[in-house]
Amino acid sequence: MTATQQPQSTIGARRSTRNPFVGAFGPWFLPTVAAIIIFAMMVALRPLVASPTGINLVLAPLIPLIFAVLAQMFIVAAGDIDLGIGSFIGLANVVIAVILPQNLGLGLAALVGMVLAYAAMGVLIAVRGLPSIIVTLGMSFVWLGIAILILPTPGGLVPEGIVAFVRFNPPVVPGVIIVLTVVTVVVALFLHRSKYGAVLRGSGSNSEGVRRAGWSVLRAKISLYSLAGIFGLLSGLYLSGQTGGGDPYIASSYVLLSIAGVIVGGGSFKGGEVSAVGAVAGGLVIGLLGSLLQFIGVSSSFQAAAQGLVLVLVLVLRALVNWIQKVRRTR
Amino acid sequence: MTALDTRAEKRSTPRSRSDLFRALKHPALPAFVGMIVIWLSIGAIAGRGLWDTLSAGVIIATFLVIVGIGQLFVITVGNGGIDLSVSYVMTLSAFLSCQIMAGQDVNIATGLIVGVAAGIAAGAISAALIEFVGMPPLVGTLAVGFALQTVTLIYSGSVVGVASPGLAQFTTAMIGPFPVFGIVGIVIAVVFAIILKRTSYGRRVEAVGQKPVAAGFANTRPALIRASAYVISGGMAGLAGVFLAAYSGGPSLGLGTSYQLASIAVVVLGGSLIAGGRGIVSGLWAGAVLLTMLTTLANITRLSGGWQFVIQGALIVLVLALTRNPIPRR
Repeated sequence: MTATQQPQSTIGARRSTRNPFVGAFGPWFLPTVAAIIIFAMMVALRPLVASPTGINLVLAPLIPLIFAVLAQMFIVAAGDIDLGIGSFIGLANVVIAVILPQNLGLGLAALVGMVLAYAAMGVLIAVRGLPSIIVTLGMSFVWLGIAILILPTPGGLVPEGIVAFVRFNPPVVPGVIIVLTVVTVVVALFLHRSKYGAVLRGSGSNSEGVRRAGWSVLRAKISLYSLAGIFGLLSGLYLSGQTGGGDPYIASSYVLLSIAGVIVGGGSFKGGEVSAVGAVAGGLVIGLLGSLLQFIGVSSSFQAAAQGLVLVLVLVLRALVNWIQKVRRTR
Repeated sequence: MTALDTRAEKRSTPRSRSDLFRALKHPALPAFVGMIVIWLSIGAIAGRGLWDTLSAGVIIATFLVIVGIGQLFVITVGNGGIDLSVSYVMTLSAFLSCQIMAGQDVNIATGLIVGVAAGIAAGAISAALIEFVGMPPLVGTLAVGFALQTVTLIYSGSVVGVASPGLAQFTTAMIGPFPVFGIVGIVIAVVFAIILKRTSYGRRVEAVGQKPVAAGFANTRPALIRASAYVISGGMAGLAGVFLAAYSGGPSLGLGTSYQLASIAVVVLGGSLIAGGRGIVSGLWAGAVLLTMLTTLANITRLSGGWQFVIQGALIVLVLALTRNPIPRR
């Protein structure tokens, strides 16, 4: 990845600046277009979807998923993969629905502790050089187990204030649009326009470079895992507010869906290569696809397969594009 | 290859003084020690016959041993190898084999073959996605797994299969004090240990896991070896699914679920390197018996299901965190 490939990559960069199409549209462009197309198809099927109430009804269930995708995006930026985010969100949901109403202090402490645990997981993975997949998979059972200990069967009651906050919906602009815009802009500005955002992305793609520039790679890893934990909590918060109760298994499907969202949104497993806008759009694509299938009347048992298939298709297409580029370059 | 071979031989030739020391440093030792500790504590707590506890544990652990061996091969070929489709393969194979057996002993062979073949096909698809499309193993196997889950969900609605009584008896039969199926598990473990450590193919599997480039120079095709591991894993998961369905009287949708994490856990517990390059089948067997008896212990002490999840998950992370770092090996 160093001296020998240096000339090649500069040629590639020069080419991409010469080609205005690639330069102007980052990796976020295609997923955004895809999300808009899927939404347009839904509107074509049911025109009421385009009304403010319709937008709210269609997009609100996707908000927790999009937070989960962003959480996964931070882990992917670190060059890792998180298989525990689904159970983690489930635990957050259970804590919010069971412990928080009984004892505010204890509930908040538990939530903060969860973020710290995520940061500690990042330290363990970084310091011991462990495969993130297996550590997070193991931890996912710890989260799930704790959630089941707190709440063996679905139940609990989410505090009224959280429900009101999550269902906040001003008359003119749908609340979901406000949340989506604010979150996307904040995360995108931080990750792509701030100095530390560049360090964080760099720690995943070129950790040696980041280290030589005087930044702590370990600290970057801690930041990324903490951010993932925080966004996992936000996802759990929105899920809790929307469902009004707790269920340890509530977000178990989010593991694959969040990975799919990041990848569809232009992220790559190599680390560092992620796009905040792309991840949000990717989450929308994956989520809206499920709703669209439901609209057409496809049974819910096909949905998981369809969403998985989209992920496979995107990866196959990307492999194909890479292959074509490679063939062209060698010519 | 040659360098690896001599190293392996050096390790296996008996050396008088350092023999005991070497046995103490063997990576499978913690799994065996843990197994014995839990075995004895079950005996102490429940006051049950030690032999009964062991033979029951060894029978139930055999399913895990079979799936785990497949997982071990996938992890040992390295490159981030992991098979997250085993639970779905097991469930699908269970349904397929039980439909074909339809409660008749004549159909045992066909049922077994179809169950294993379905697993092999699933493994081959995973291998193609990973090695030819270039997907990370995690995504490739997970995508195949979800596809299989959907197939099973739709397919299982229309069939009610019954395992053949002959196969069901086979899984619980005893010859004198020895459980037949438990011995089958040990035999399978020994066979695969020999394949991994004594055949050219097995040495290639470990070589590819240690250094794919070097293995490539040594006349091995890393992509092909890695692909074969996924096929083995699929086939083993299929076999385990068929046996498990026979043992539990019939297939169910949640049949394989608990085996996903457990199959990875036994590889880790057994002292195999999670980054690939060193697979230890004996440790895997001990790890499987350990995990099975841990569940028994949890049931005896009426530990809630939540604790069992926490213990299993924490055990993996703990063992991973405590094992010697594989990077500075040479």
